Amino acid sequence: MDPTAVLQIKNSIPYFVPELMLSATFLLVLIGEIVTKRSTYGGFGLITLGGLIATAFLSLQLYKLPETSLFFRMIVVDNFGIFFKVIFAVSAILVVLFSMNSPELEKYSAGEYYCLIIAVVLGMNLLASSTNLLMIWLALELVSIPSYLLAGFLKEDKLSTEAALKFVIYGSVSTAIMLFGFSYLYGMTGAYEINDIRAALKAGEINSTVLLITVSLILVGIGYKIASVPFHFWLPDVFQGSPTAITAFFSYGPKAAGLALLIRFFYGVFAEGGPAYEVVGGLYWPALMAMMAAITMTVGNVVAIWQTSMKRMLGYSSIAHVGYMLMGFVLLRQDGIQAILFYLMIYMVMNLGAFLVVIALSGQMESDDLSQYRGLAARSQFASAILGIFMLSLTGIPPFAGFIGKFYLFAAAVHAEFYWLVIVAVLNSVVSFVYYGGVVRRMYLEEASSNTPIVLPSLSRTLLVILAIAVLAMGVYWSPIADYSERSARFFSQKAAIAKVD
Amino acid sequence: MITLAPGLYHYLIIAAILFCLGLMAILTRRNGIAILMGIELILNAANLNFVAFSYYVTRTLGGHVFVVFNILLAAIEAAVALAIVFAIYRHFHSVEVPDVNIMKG
Repeated sequence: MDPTAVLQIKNSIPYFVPELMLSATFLLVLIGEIVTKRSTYGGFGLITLGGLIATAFLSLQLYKLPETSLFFRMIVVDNFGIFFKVIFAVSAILVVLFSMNSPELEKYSAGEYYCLIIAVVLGMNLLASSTNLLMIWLALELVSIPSYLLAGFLKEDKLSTEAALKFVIYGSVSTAIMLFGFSYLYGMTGAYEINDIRAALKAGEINSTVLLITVSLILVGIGYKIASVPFHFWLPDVFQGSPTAITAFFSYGPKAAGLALLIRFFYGVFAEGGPAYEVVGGLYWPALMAMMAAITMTVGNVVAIWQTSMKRMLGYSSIAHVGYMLMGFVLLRQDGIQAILFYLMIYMVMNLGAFLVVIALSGQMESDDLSQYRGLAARSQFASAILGIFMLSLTGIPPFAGFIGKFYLFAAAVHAEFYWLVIVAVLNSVVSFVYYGGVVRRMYLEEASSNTPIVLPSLSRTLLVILAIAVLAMGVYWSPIADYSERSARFFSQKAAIAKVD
Repeated sequence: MITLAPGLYHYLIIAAILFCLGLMAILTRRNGIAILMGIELILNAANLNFVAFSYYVTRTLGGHVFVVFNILLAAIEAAVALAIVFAIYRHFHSVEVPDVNIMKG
């Protein structure tokens, strides 16, 4: 083997420790399951938690290093990628904590469950830092394939199996179409690395029709991952059928990874070093993206009003929130990207908090039907107060964090001079109050069918208090996380030559 | 910049036809296994493109390497998808996708 290649791999390893940590945790849990044969959600959960906390910590150690390209320009280590690695690890930590006392999972093997979660996190980490078509495709499949299995994890449950079938069909079709788009992109440019692709697109005379078809094919794959309309059809059924902890996981991590890919791919190929989309002439891309954002949020919010299942309603709400986040994407400018990162942090807390209430209550309710939430205030003051906070924050009502997050996104759209998009988004926020407020109304103003008091497990109570305080605190004092998102998005404005390990 | 030797177009046309056939199978077939076969057709259409571009356009091994990874991933995906179809058969006693529809709305 070429000695410089060995050296390149050897020098890349120190930048790759978070992923190595995840791989080590994966093997430890897998072997632990085989050796001990008896698996408990508590025991393996603690090992997984340890691994994920170490991963978050090791990722933060790499923050602020100059941007570095690893493994023959397959992946890149930069603040943007590390920002995502940390939020993936934190969201996975929360999901593991939710799973540790989730009654519906108990019958099934804990080791396999945590292994699959770790595999998805590893895939998301790679997806957020890939700069090479091959690596993007491999990482996307590493996120998708364990996700199909997690969706169908409740083998004896009809709904869960149905969710897995729908997920695997929609998912593999979308990623296969994306791969076909990649093959054309490779043919047109002769390159795999996104910087080389941009250079080739700029230099050569590209047929704009072919490029439009290619980008549309690729957008099918990315759109499926972030569940933007019209590629969202898989989401409601998958969300309703999957185990609730996994629904919480899907509602955040893989979508954030898809957004990271969307930003890095589009920015890398179409924008870097010049006005956005200059290489794809003939079509006004920002208007197209704004249209996608507007339709996504409207469909998500309007359809959510008619839902009767809590999980399904939160699923449509997550479609709407992706629509809001796409508002920051229209012009591919720093302030928009920064607003997306800022919103992702806030959305993680309020969205996963809402799911945690649903999981904690699921043991004592007959179903996840919204009618079960009638008169909840009389049965558990604590649960309804906390759920109320998350619902109002998701709507975007002032003292809560959701308002600040939306404010940044709206400001980005105003800067981009997409005023109609801001109007659509404000109207959408009003519409979203119908269903978020509907949950609060059911809890406080309607009569309960039963009066048995509900007591939440102490782990859930502690977690919920922490998350609710975080939502309130971020709503009044947000400058640290705003600075953090600004630093993480900075690579968009001051792009220096990427350092290569040698 | 791209020099086209004769022959590339033939491969591209075959790949495009395969892609359309795969898409048609996915959209018109009701049987879960037939839909999975349609997905394989799309993946192989992409593989054919990669190898053709690699041979005629870039003249490097890049496309071949991509195809090797694709074949591997297609096998993994087929294994997972078939396992899920078996689970479906156990619950619904059918692999026709329209029968598997408890959740609506």
